[in-house]
Amino acid sequence: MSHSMRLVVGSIKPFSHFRPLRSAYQFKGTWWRLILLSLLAFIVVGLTSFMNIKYAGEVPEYAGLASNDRLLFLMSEVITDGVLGLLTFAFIVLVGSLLFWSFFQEVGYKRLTYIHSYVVFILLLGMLLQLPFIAFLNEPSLISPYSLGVYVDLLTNNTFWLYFTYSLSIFLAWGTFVQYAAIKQSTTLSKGYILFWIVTLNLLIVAILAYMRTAF
Amino acid sequence: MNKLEGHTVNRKSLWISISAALFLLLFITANTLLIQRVLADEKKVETVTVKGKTYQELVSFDGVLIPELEESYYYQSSRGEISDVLVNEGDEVTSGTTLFEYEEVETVNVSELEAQLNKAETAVSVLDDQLNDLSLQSSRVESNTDLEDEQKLQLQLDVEEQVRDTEYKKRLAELDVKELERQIQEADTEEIENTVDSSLDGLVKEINRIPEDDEPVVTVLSNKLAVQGSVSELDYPTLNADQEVTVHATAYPGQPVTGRITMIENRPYQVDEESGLSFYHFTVEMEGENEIASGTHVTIDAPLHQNKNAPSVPEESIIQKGSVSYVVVLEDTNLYLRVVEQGRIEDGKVEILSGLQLKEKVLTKPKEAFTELLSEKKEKQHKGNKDEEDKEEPSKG
Repeated sequence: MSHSMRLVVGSIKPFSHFRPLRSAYQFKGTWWRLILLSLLAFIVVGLTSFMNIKYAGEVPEYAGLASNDRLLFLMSEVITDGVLGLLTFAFIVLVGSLLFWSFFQEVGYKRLTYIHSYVVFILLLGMLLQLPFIAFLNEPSLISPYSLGVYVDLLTNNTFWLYFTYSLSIFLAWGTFVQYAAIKQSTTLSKGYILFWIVTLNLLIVAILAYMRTAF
Repeated sequence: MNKLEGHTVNRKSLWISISAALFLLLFITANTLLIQRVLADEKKVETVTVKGKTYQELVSFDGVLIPELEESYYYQSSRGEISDVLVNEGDEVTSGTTLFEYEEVETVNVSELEAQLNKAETAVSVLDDQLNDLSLQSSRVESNTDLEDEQKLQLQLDVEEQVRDTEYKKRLAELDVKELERQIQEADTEEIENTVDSSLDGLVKEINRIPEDDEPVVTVLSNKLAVQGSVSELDYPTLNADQEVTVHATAYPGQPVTGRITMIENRPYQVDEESGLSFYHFTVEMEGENEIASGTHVTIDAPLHQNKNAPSVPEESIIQKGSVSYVVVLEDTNLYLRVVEQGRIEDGKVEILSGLQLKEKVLTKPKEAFTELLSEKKEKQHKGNKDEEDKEEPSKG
């Protein structure tokens, strides 16, 4: 039996979409969708970087550049950030799945990477929907109205906690829900066990990424 | 029945969906308003103003606190014998305190001179009166009509001769007065010089009650202290007179005293047997009041290669590319990359030897990608300038 990767349907109706996943031994349409997802990641992150510089003043030095140098600067920033974004999502899929695999060996590493691709799609959707807010609020993409970070930002200026809490968004919750639905359909483990480890591991991944952003 | 149940479930899930959508909408709206009203802030380039800082390397020397001055008061046999030494060893003296005095030599009797002066002044006064009388007598002779002209002339000549004689005597008397006055003044002065007074505030160190000619009778140490330092021949060239130093005493922690080198001896006081190095004394005058006692051993920190008020920027502001250092300078609203010459690094601050002025603004932490771009711009400009120069040269030729 095979399972087709349908990112939109799987994100909207995860329970019904992932029902046949457990018995599936073949995954259809995976590679080209993954390549498309990588391209989307590069474009969305690059676009976010462009909007951050152009409309949110994330690099205030940009204003001090001569006009003919600005394009070159933007290009270098967009490409650098796009590649970094691509690597971040690859990290989420590959390393994230590895972490999950320790607790959900019954599901298998391959299936977990397959499930994580849906999460990446949802997170990219979140970034895409964040773009109009960058121009509207003139604030960089970090300051997301979809996340809990807004409330923590009122209380602290600690960079780690800001990065961490701004990552706790509606889209992460959505992605977590999809993960839960997909794993639940692929295993006989109890609801409580699945929910506890999914939430814990997602928080751990978010914390690792926040730490990396703070440190570098 | 199943249809009815399905209808109820659909309605329930619809309500849940509507509630969830409304909640999310409210959440996003509230967050947007919070960001807009509270969290939004102006994005500014983070700059730091170039400030002045003193950079120096310290060389330490050992020293000890000693009295700043040691004054010896000598015996002069030409002034006679010493009659009395008025102080003892260890006595506190102030400036003007009499230390010892000479015996009074046979001097002129002042009262006798004063009597002679009175007599001479009286003689001048009497001669003055005589001159007035003679003048009166001369006018009477002139106005006397009973006398013949020849008699008048004879009498006038007699009076004039007496006047000349009297004036001469008066002049001699006046000279006597002046001479006596001088002698009296001289006698007074000689009386003062019989004593020897201290010229400084301090402590009597030593007394010699039976001195030979030109030997000190009393030696006084000043209350004001100075530091006597010791410098080896290796560090000798690094010290200069008038150089500022800091004095630290282990016995007085946290009380550094600033001072100035007043004198560096040019003859060694000691040659170390082990190292074979010569050691020289130098003196430091301390500024202000302090509680450090005489005899306290101290450390003298002398700054070397001092650069006062040197332009200074944080280390993060410097971009190092190979052997060249840059900073990004903000002028009005424009940013420029500028080559600077780095000096010493102290407490995270870099000494700028050239390329920056005080009060200029530089980026606190320039972004690497950004500075790469700026350096390209600079190279382009440099290349452009070079090309122009190259074009000009053949045309000159």
